[in-house]
Amino acid sequence: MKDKDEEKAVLSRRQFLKDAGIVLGTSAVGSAALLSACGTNEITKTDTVTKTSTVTKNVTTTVVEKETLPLPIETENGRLLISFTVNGKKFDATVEPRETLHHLLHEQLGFKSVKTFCSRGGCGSCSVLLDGRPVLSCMTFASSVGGKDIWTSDGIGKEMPELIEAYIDNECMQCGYCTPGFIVTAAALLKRNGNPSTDEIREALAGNLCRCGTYPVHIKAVHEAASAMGGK
Amino acid sequence: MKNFKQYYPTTVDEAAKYLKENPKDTYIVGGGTDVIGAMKDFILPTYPVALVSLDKIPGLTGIKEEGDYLIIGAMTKVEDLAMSDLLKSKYTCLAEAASRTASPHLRESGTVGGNLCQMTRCWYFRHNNNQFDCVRKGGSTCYALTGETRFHSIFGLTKMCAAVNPSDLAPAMVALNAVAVTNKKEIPIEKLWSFAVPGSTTLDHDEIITSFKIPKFTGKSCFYKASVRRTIDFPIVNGACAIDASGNARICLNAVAMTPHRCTEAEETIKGKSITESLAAEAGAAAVQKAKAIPGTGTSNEYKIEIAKGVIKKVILGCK
Repeated sequence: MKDKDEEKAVLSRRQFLKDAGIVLGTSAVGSAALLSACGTNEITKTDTVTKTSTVTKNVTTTVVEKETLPLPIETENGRLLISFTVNGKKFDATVEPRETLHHLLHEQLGFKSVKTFCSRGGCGSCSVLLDGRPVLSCMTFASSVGGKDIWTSDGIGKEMPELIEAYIDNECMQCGYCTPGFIVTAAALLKRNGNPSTDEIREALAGNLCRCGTYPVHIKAVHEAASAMGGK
Repeated sequence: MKNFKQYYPTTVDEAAKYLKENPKDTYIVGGGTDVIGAMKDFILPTYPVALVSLDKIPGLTGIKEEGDYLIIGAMTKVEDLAMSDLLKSKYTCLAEAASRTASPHLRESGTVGGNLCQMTRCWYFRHNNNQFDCVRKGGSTCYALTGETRFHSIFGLTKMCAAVNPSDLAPAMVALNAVAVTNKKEIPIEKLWSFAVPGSTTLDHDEIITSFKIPKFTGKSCFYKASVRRTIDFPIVNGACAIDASGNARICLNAVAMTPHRCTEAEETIKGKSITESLAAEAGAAAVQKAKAIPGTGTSNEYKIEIAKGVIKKVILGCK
């Protein structure tokens, strides 16, 4: 036991961050899943609405003409049941209509990398990828994410180790609180644009605030990650 | 946030029906970036009992040219406008306005319809927990008039309210002569805004914007936004100018009054003339002739008149 503690003590910050980036992911899925999630801006139109028909007994499903996103199902106490995927893993959850996506991920499902900060859409700390779009989870209703594909920085760290490496090599964090938000936004940018220019990186990361003022190194890191990933 | 009911209709008619049957304290949600903030801060005059989300209604998104019009779905994300090659090449001012709206993240969830129907950012109106019982909330005082007016109206008061419309897309939409298509009628864009709370629009309670129609445009257009920061900031003054192939100009300023301010004086000044720097400056001066600062007791907004002048000059020169 003592040995283990000593081991922990000598674990370098760099190694810790590497491990954190790589190990935190909750499930193993291929990069293809993330690629497909990020590459398209289209709404996934796979599931269909099944309107519960209370009138007829022999007909269980109504004919659906238009393909739409799955609707939340109302359960007891006005809570809404939704199913969605986070980092490639399927989840079902019941949420109150007032709950934000941030609350669902951080409090209910325990994705602590989705940080709480301003809660007003001003800082970018709670960024997640929602169907490939970098959005602020504090400004998204949890009940609206049914059928959608969510990626947090835990999952992205696992799928894009080059980005995490570049962030570590360039020492992109001081207190580190804003870093997960930056990772999510940078990942969204790299998936859309394999070889972004400095201006494009500045523009893409403009919605993430860092109190420690680490902005210049983020640009270097994203450039490095882009070249490490070979512009794929 | 206090709890409420969330309703997800799958057609516009269903949404309108629900709003009609529940006239009290039901609000429409597009992307949610305005309404969630408003609810977290408790600044709505009455707290919503139910929200009607347009999120699951198919067919409300997309940018396409159809016949004589460019059609933009009301639920199209603002970032899609900023990224659109069609808009960048032909409807430049709209793409520029979209790319300067809020922050990249908010543009990814905010919608076009929501941006145009957003509530004012007046800091007395937005103060937590409805602390200021201002005219817009049914009170009798505009606190800005005896307070800080540095971001307030320079073109007079609307029903004793000194707030301004904060939308970045609005001046571009006005310059391009857009039409808002709702489930009931078509509204010329300049008639869309009013004093109403919430939303600052003339829409009925059960009226939902489904798309925006812009007549095909083949001229040059330009948008400029003056703000303290480049990103995540509302404009001090913004403006757009669109000069079509036959030389007719439409110029609009925003964040200067409760509704976007069409600058007909500036349009007249440049009509039929070739654009030069001095002509653009002259048009700028003409546009702010009727402008008047509100002194307040804190910082006056007199500087906004000079900025408005400069914005007009910039957008006209941008169409050269």
